Formats: sequence, C-alpha cells, structure tokens
Amino acid sequence: MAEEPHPLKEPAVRLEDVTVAYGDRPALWDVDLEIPKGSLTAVVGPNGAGKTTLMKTMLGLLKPATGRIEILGKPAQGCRGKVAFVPQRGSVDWDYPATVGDLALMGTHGSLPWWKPLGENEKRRARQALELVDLANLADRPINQLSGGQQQRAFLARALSQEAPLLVLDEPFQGIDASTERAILDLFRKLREKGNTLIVVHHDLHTVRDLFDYCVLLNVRVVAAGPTESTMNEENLRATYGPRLGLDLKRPGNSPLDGMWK
Amino acid sequence: MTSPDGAVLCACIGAGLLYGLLGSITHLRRQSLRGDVLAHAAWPGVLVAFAITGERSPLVLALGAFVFSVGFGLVITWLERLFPRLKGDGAPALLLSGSFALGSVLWSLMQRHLEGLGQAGLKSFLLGQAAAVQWLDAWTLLGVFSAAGLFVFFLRRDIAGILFDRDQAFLLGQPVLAVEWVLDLLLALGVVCGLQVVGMVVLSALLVALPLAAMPHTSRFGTFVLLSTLLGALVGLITPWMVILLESTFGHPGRGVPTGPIFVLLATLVAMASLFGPRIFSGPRTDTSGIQP
Repeated sequence: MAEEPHPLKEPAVRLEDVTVAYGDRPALWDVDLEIPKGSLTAVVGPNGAGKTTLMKTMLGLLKPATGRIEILGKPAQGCRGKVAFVPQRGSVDWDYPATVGDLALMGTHGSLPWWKPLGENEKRRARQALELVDLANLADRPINQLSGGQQQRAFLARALSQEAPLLVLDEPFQGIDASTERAILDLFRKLREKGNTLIVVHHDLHTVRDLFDYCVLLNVRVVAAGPTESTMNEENLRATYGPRLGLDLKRPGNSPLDGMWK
Repeated sequence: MTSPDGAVLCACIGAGLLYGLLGSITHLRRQSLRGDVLAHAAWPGVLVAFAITGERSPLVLALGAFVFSVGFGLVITWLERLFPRLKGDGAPALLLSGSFALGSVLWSLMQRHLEGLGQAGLKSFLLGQAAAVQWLDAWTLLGVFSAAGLFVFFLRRDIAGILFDRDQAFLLGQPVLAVEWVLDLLLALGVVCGLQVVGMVVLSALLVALPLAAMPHTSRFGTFVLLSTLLGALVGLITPWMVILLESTFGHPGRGVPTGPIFVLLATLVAMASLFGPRIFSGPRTDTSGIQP
C-alpha cells in the first residue's frame, strides 16, 4: 500500500526510491516516504525490518545504494546541527571518561567554533536539558555508573541540549520504567507543540495509537505511512508483522494489539 | 652513580609525554593494536631504507619507517572498509605479526649480504638504546609532542565528541574525517620518532600502559589525557636513571641494557600500582555526589 502524504504540512523528511543493502541482502527496499513537519511520528515494525537502518540512512550516516533523501528541504549533508539523533544506547562505550554533565554539553559543541571556550549559554542549555529528563542531580556522576534507564535519559539530554528542530530517536524507551516513559512521552508532546518534529522508533503499539499523530509501518518496504488514525488498522499491522500476529489477535492477553479494537 | 646524558634524559621525557598523550587517544579510539602494528611496521621500513640507500643517517631511516608505518596504517583502514567484519582487532591482528615477520626475514637476509655492516646501529631500533640517542631524537620527540599537544588542546571538544560517538559528531557538523586523519598521522609520526629511544618491539606497550594508569583516577576526558601524559613524563624521567643503575650494578656501563624494556617495565608498574592503589583525585571509586539520600 502506498503512503498517503500528509495534506497539510511540508515534509521534514523526504525519501525517494531509497534502497539500502548490507552485502546482497536488502535492508530497505524502494522506500518512498514523507514525514510531515511538526509531527510526532512513530516508526513501527518487527525485528530486522530496517528501522535503525531507515533512521541512519535518513540522517546521512548510511549511504543508500539508490535514492534521494531530503531533510528540512535540503540534502542530508547540508543540515548538520539541525538534526539531533538519539541512537540505541549500546552503540557507544559507556566506560568513556565523561560525566552526565559532559554528555549533555556535547550536544552544544557543534554550534561552537574551536577557539571559543564553553560559554554560559552552552552551560544553560545543558542544564535545562538535564532538568527536562530529570537528571540534574546526577550531573557530576560518571557515565559508567549509570543504570540503563539513566543512560538512555542522558542520551536524550544530549539531543535536547542541541536544540535541533528535528529529533530522531531509536528505541528511546529501552530499559526505562513506566513512569519515566510517561514523563518522556509528555516531554515529546511538549516539544511537538513547540513546533519540533520527532521521529521515534517505538514498539508499544498502544502508545503509538494514543500519543503519536503519524506513523510509518515498516518491514524492509514501507507497508503503510500516514496519520495514525487511518494507518494503524488491522490489515496494515498484519501486513507488517505477518500472519502470526493475526493468530495472536484472537487470544486476549498474548498480543501487543490487545484492546486496540473496541 | 653518574647522571644520564642530557639528550637521553630529554628524549625519554619527550617519549613519555608523547606516548602518554597519543596513548590516551588511541585507547579511547580502541586502536591500541593499530599502534602496535605501526611500530612493528617501522622495522622493515628501517631495513628497506638502509638496503636502498646504504645510509645510516637517522633521517633516511626514519623516512623509511614512516613510509612503512603509514602504509600499514592505510592497509588496515582499507581492509576494515572492505570487510566490515574486521572492525576492531581483526585487521591489526592480521598484520601485526606479519609486519614484524617481514622485518625479521629482511634482517636475516641482510645480515648475510651486508656482513655486519651497520648492524649495531640498526639493532638499536628494536629495543631502544640509550647510547644511540642523540639530541636530534630529543628535539624531534619534544617537537612532535608540542604539535600533538596543541592540536589536542585546541580541538579537545571535537576530539572528545568524535571518540565517544562518531555518528553524533558527524551530525553535529564536527570535522570528523579531518580530525581522524590528523590523529592517524600523529600516531605514525610519534611511533617513528621514538624508535631510537623505546624501540619498536615494546613501544606499543607504552600506548596501553600509560592510559590504563590514568583511567582509574578520573572520569573527565581532559583530566584523563593530561594525567596519562604526565605519568608518561614521570616514567620517562625515571627510565634513564634506572638504565644507569642497572648498568653500573651489573657491570656493563654504557652498553647492554636497552631503554625500551626498562621504560615499559616502569610504565607497567605504574599502571599496576594505579589500578590496585588508592585514587589520586576523586577519592572514593564511586562518586556519589548529587545523589539524594
């Protein structure tokens, strides 16, 4: 099924005919996608569907075999500093010598030429970011002494201190407890209200349905993309996750989709 | 006990400073093994330069070593790009023994053909020899250290960001490729100009031991780099005295005891003491500041 372009807004991200392969195995196949500016978008799909690959390709970190990518109206290389990325936290070495405060400050480094020392402005941005994720009291803690959830929030703080109009997050709720997840989802909504665009790889289909206004269903190809209301239906989900999900649907208590249809 | 020669003392301190600094960076890049390859590749480089020119001038030999180090560095990068599975230890491990084996084969061939010509001078490149160290070595080491130090100081934010999270540094618009290129170049340069003092066989142990000695005492990038550098200088300061002490005790004044292994032994001792001993700066191992009771 082709995606329905959002009728109201210009796209924050546009992909045309994008194919990415590792060796001879395609990770993304002929992806055409537009994600509207100012949306809170969920990218949903089973393991190995190419979600992380999609994020990295749209940010210009992976080179597609074919296709064109535009971010905020420009080629991916041209918007350095305007996109903040929260990778999966396993992607870095947490024994690196840095404190939580240092990590939050890293988000501000791109806006500062090398000869200038860190100013009040950068420190304020980092402090605010830490307060937003409720880590201000751990600013002096070395990052190798954080729990998984705290690492995730520290990553989030680094992205927030960048004050970028577009945020891309790869499974930001991994290892985070339910109440913190609520708080961060609230934060996402506030950021969207301020005009930011957020693209989130997310697994909990309930919260996608409740909180995200746009969604992309991915399984190597884009199965469907559009406003959540019209896109998150049984047919599309089954096309994304395969028939096994369909079986689970009939057994309450076993499916991530329980209660999605009244 | 006589005091060490001024050139030897300065060269050892210079080497300590340089390898402390470069070691802290290579450690965070997880490229210690790459440093090992660059050092070992210098050995066939020196021999080839000598075989081609027949000269023993330090500049010619250093040039040969530099060309081979850079060459092997490029081969590692190329292999990693071609075969992503070799990322990490794979490519350097593949080339490490190979580069040294190449040097050893050349060495035995040359011994037969050159009838001992210049052997003594060349051999000092293997383990380092205080007697072979000249003021030129000291100035080169201190010069390269100053250049590397200035580079790391001024680009500390970019370097810290790139070493922690390369993708993020790209997205922030930090000059990732340029910085990595300069760091690679500095490592090759640094390895080559310390051969006379430390020798290629054990040189890379310094790149590992000094940052490991600094690691337990800090959780800040800047302090870590500085501490690794200063510990290097300390070890470099003690090394020449230790060499003289051993030589005078065991009756071979002026020859015999190579500087490299002494240097590395001292650095290893410092690293072990630092891993098991008390913290220098932060006091307790676990920083609990800011945690609510």
